[in-house]
Amino acid sequence: MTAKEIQKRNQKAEQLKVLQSDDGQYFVESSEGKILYNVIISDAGDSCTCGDYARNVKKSPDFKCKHILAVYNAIPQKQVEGATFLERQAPKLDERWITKIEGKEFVKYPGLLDLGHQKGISSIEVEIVQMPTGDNGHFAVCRATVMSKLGETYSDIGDANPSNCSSKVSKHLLRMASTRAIARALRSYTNVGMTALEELADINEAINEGGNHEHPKAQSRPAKKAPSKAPKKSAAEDDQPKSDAEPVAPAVENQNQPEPSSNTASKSPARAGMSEAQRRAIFNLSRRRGISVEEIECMVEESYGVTLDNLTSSDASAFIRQLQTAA
Amino acid sequence: MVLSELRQTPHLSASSINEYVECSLLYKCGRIDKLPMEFKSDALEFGTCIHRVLEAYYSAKMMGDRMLLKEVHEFFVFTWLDMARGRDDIRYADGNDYNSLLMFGRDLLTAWYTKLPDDDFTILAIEEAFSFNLPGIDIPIIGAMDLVEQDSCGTIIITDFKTSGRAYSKDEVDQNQQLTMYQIAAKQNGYGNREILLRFDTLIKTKVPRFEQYWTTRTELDERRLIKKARQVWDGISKGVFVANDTSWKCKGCAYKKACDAYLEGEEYDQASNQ
Ligand code: SF4
Repeated sequence: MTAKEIQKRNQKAEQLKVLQSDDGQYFVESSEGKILYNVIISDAGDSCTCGDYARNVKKSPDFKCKHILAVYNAIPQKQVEGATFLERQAPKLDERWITKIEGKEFVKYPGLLDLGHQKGISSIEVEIVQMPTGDNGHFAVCRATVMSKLGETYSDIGDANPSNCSSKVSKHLLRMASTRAIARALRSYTNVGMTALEELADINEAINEGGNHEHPKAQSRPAKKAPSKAPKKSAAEDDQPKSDAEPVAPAVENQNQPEPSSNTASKSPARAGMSEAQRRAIFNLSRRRGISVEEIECMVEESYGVTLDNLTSSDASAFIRQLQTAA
Repeated sequence: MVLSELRQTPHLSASSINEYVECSLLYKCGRIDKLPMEFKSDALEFGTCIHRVLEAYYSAKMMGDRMLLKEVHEFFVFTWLDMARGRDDIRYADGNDYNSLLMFGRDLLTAWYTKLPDDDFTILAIEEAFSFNLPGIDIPIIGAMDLVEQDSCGTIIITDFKTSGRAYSKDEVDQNQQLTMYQIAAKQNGYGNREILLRFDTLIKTKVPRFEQYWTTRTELDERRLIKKARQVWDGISKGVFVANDTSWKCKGCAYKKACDAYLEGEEYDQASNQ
């Protein structure tokens, strides 16, 4: 870089605003104030995320763009501002998303989503744990995982069956289970204690329900699986409203089986149900091959005469092979 | 024995078998003559660095901790700094340099971290080294499985961490012999009576970084095919058959190009190797 170029960049650098975040990183505002460039100052060399730096550093490894120079200028002059700009306004649940029924407050699903986005959602993923079929009393179960931008995960399960949904949505059990799972995971993430309206079977339940929800805590490690009771449902049980705190785990998992240790490996008996890893493999393979969940269900029924959830471990193995060879 | 010790002894591995089949001269240069590499590719070094980060993440998980994304980034920055700063033997691909990969690595790991499914598989081993013998091959087959887990039904999941410039095709996943070798090794090393699933956890280095998991399985037929191939490779090696495949896609990035050219053109390397 010539002396003239350095002088020119220095002049420009003087007008730039330099900020430092809590973790010590420097950010320099573009001249228009629209973009922040991340500047790294270290013994290993300085760098900047701007295009000027990327272009020139290849030719000259010691190249300093105006943003790096701005940091150089700002540090001795103590003109580095705290990066308060990074702090978001405290997320707030808008009152229009809260509804009161006989004195008890309920949050609406869009409100939870709104609050979640204010806090910073990175992704929401829903996994079907159990498809509603005649064999399981049309009991749909989904697991939702909300991932925050900071990398925390919040996972929970939602279920829906004809007895815990209003007649209007009973045709859409899977969607309802998914909405409930997301609502519950979002409630954990946003720390909202109110029950979501969508979680309830009907308004009567809203009125009768106590306010003390058992609320899964924010997890700083991967979510644990839901309790391992398969939904064995008698007609009488069907009439009971589902408790808010007791999600239903997949019917197919042998969760009561003792966990085999690596030393005492024993072959899962042929009759053992499909394992969680096999389930993941099936959904992964089908997604990669563009096969929908419905199509997978049909393929399983055609080949094995059972629903996907009722596949045995050995049939699941064979089915995975079948999927692998599918076009 | 750890992998570095196993590597000191003569051996075959999934990658060396593959290398021999792709270009047996390349195999000879690196693994028999142990010629110094003319350079190290940035992809290889960057991949190793990412691999170490993932290993650290799972080691923490195994101890019951979950590394935050910030910690993952920090670990990556330190590792990359340690591995690559100031090195002049790394050949950077067009548009890459030490700094750009430093920034890109963080984005790539963010994509991985945010897309990694939350599961409660039990981690049985990380970097699990293995060694076993096959009839007809005088030296052991060695390697290391990046991650071995089991689910609540006892199904074994063996994962290999990968960084790749693009998404994998169906065949690349379903026919990959490294995974086949892992299955053979797992069966030889105590998991013979378990259901085994195989997986690539692939961090894809596209402009917008991506993360994909590819699940797959192998049959006994797949195992037999690889074992047969391993025997043929051993046969070739023990008889001293090394053919330069100089139309291979590998030639472009080959770290033994000069030695290879010298050999093919009958210069020093040829004489040296015939001494
Ligand atoms: S340059 Fe090509 S032919 Fe020569 S050793 Fe390398 S890969 Fe083989």
